[in-house]
Order: sequence, then C-alpha cells, then structure tokens
Amino acid sequence: MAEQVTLATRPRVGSGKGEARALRREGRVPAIAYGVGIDPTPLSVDALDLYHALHTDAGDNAVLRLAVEGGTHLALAREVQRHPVRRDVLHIDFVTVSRTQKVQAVVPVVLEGEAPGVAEGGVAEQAAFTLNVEALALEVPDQLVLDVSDLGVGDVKRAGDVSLPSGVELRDDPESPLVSLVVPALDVPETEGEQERDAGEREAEGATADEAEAAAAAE
Amino acid sequence: MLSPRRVKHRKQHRGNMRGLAKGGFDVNFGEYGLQATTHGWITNRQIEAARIAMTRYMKRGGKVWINIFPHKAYTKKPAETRMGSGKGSPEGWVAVVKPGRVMFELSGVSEEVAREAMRLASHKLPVKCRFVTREGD
Repeated sequence: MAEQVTLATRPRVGSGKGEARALRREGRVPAIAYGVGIDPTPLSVDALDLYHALHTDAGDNAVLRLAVEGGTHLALAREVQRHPVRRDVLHIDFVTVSRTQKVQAVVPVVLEGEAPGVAEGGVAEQAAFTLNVEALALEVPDQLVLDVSDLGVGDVKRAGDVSLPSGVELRDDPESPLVSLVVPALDVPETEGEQERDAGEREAEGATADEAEAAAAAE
Repeated sequence: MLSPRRVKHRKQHRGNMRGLAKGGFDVNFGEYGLQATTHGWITNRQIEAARIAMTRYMKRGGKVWINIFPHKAYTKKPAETRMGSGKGSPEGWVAVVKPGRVMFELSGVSEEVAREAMRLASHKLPVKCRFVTREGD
C-alpha cells in the first residue's frame, strides 16, 4: 500500500531557466503543484528529500504529504524529468489528489515462482514491466505479483492473469501479453557464417597484396 | 549489416554532435542497457561487431535490442588525392550518438551475464559507455 511521506516545499519567486538553474545549484528541484484544491503553484523541493521520498517501497506511486504555504495536500509525483546522463531530477509535477477519488497509476509487475519451462531450455520473455491501474490514491499497490510457477514452454501470461487487490481496477487490455516462455533462437550459424566470410575476405585481401608485391619485385 | 534501403541524397553534411540525447535515454524494451556517455559516430560495422560480441557471450538465451540505426552516409576521398575537386565518395553508414543514448538493450539473462556481454560490446564502440538497468534511477 502506498506510503505517505512528508515533503517540505518553498514557493518560487521568479520564473524561467535562470531561476531554475539557480535553484538546482542550491540543491533544490523546481516543481509545480496542481490538482484537487490547489491552483497551479510553482514550488521547489530539496533534492535529497525528494530522492528519499521517491525511493520508498511505493516507488513513484508514493503518496506525498506536500506542505505548501497555507496547508498540507496529498499529492502524487508525476512527469519526472531527469537528466539523460546523470539521472538526477530536473523538474517534477505534484498532482494533488483527494482521498475519495480514484487515480490512475503505473504499477510494476514482479514475477514470482520458478517456471518449469525454464528447466526445458525456455527463457522468460517479459513483454511489459508495468500495468496501468485505477485505485484510490492511498490504496495503489506497491507492486503486482504474477505467479509463473505453472508456465511451460510456449505459454503466455496476460494482464488479466494478475491478481489485483480489492479496490484496484485494471486499465490495460486484459488480453495484452505480459510474459511468455520461449525457446531462444541460436545465433551460432550466423556468426559462424560471418567468420567464414571474414576469413574469405582476409584471404582475398592477402592474395591481392601478395600479387602486388610479386609484380613490384618483377619490375 | 544495417544500412538504409533508399536515401534521398547520397552525401550529407557532417553536422555537429553538441548537446545531450533528446530521447532514447531510458531502458524501454529489455531489463539492461548500454548507455553512451560521450558522443560519436558509430558505423554499421561497429554496431554489428557489438551485437555479435554480445550474442556470442550469451550463447543461448537472452534477447538483444539495437536502438540505434546508421541513417547517415559518410564520405572519404581516395588516398594520395590533392584537396579540392569536390566531395569524396560515400564510404559507409554511421549512427550519430549523443551522451545519454541507450544503444543496446538486453533481457532474459542474469545481471552478471548482461554486464559482461555489455562490457565486451562496449569495447567494439568508439564512445565511452556505461551499464544501466531498468530500475537504475
């Protein structure tokens, strides 16, 4: 179940990239809060506090108690913009939610059990790692467990096979495949063929070089 | 070897490689990825060499995704030619890679195997790379 983490915020005075960069230099992350019971409000949060808030068991679906000037709001972190190389958060949206309204969330799927097909040489190929669900903000599960202990070679588990807690609805197509057990195709013939081709090319190059040397010696 | 089937123009300007990757910096298909941390031109031969290095190490099992494609033609003048007399002839194909780009993805193998496969692949590439995972944020 989603954890609640309190996150202190500070209002932002300016706007634009200059102010945003100044905030990041101070170790803060520019953010905006909007949603139920709040007008769009530019904020900033401490980068370290935000890191800890987003690294609980609930992951990105952690319910935050956002302390904005004049009150506390329940909020979810959405639209997390990250630096492509450093992966630190550049900007974040906080969507305030109501305790009684359902929200949509992306929940990770975890495989459980040993598939008997693996012993027969199969490899579990996971087509999707997350599922879209709808639930009350405080009832969004941390993860969904999919039991693969009865998965043989050629079998497929679909989104509908995941057991959902009560109060949680699936938003994805229940027929969409999640995990299948396939026998991997051997890549050896291709690489062997390439080796032969490479060897052939080298021989051809060597032959032409030898011929050239012989011609030069004759001259 | 990867190459475009048909192009509108045979020769292109070289362009620049300033800035960071604008997209493709997340692991989207597999569980593990090989991310570039510097920029460079990666030829179709290098992409193929990296793929072969990975698949050979993994033997059976695992699935590889190649997230880059050599769309750009590069040209070269013949050896011992005086400067001038126009642009050289097309020599090969390259993919322009900027820092942050996840070039290869893997799934269906353990993290140890994936790390070693990606390490071997990275030695075939002209850019500095690092191993990334889906939950690496």
